[in-house]
Amino acid sequence: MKILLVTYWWLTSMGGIRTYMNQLADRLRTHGHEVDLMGTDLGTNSVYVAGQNRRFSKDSVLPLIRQNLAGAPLPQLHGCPQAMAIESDRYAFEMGAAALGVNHYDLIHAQDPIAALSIRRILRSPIPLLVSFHGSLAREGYHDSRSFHPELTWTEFRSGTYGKHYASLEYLGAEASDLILVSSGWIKGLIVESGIPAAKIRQVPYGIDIPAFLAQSSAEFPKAKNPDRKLIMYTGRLEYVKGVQVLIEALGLLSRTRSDWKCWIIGDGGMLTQLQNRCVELGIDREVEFLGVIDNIPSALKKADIYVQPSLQDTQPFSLTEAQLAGVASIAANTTGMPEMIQEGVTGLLFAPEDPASLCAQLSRLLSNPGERSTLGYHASQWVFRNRTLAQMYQGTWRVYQELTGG
Amino acid sequence: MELKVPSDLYNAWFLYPAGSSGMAVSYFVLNTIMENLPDNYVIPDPKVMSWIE
Repeated sequence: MKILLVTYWWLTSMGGIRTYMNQLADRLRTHGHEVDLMGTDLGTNSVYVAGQNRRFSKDSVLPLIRQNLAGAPLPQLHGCPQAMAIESDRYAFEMGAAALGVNHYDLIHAQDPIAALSIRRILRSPIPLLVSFHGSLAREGYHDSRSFHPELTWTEFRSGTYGKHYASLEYLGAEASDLILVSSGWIKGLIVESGIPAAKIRQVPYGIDIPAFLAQSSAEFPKAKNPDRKLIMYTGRLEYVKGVQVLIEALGLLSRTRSDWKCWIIGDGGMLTQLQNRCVELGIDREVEFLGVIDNIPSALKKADIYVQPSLQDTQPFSLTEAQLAGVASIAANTTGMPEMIQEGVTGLLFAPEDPASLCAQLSRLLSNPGERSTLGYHASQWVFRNRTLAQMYQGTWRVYQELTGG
Repeated sequence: MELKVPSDLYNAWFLYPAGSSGMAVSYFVLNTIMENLPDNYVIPDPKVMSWIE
């Protein structure tokens, strides 16, 4: 079978989603299928097919698209820079994907609703189209807005043009697809809530390359930890939606009652300076270290005593799965997809989302109980071994492909 | 490949054509796109616009 995995977003720097696409493509090729990966190259602002000399510059059509949109009677679109930017860019994406060719595939698996909607708009024949919802576009847009306007409510956001635009792309992307693939019950619930029939949705959790992870973790991480302190760790993007600011506030509270800990924040993002400054204000800048992006997370996790996933919203965070596989006792926010990954008190602990005091209490609990840390970490790693293999992810996804193609 | 004149392309794609005065366009690129897009392709996307306008 000839399969296209396509995303509207940046194929060059997509983190976990690029990993997912690569892992799926590798498995499909192993089983004899031809697989192309299509997406955007942010560096050259072009649509391209990875590993091939097939590329289309969006800049060759964007001025034309913008000029024609600007002259149209669309006051709401013109009044919302975010929607205007996405609309202009996605039409350029559609033209690029059409020019590169999409009509010769047996199955197209879009990795986001914008790609699904775009592909359906340019297909000349009814090729089976599957869309994966890796997250919620509208809710991520909401949390992005909250980083500038913390008091903004979800109701206010979704009644504005920015929110309505993202909601339309999600709904129409789901509607345009023959089936929808999700990794968590939370995302499934959101899609059903929007009016899409549940019968159209299939749920297959993400997998992790366990042998590769274990091989990487056998390397010694070059940075030593303080042997007299327990090490708390976070890995991931430093963006508002990831909730690192909640972790920093919780550590500020923790520092008032105990000093038997250190924290490593691993990753980079737009909030770095703000978070560092807040650590200074809270007097914990000697306890909290920002290590930036590193190339061996499995090795670093071996140093950790506690892992924290403080996200305001997350579907099925890969970083939490890695910590669980590493056998690190984990604490996650009790919201969105995260409680589906942790059985409270068995494979980890949960805290009230966006509540530093709640997180501080759970941190203190685990710092005081080495036995509980070991037990939680062990049970979490066993759960990942049983439920999160790449083979399980591939088999589940392949069943959906067969359902679509009648294979 | 027959190269069509630009106005054919604008009329085909844009619901509210504004032309391309003052900008350089590649007729070859636009023609290639047109040959690959379905006949009913329009900008802006009417379904999305019905949600926000």
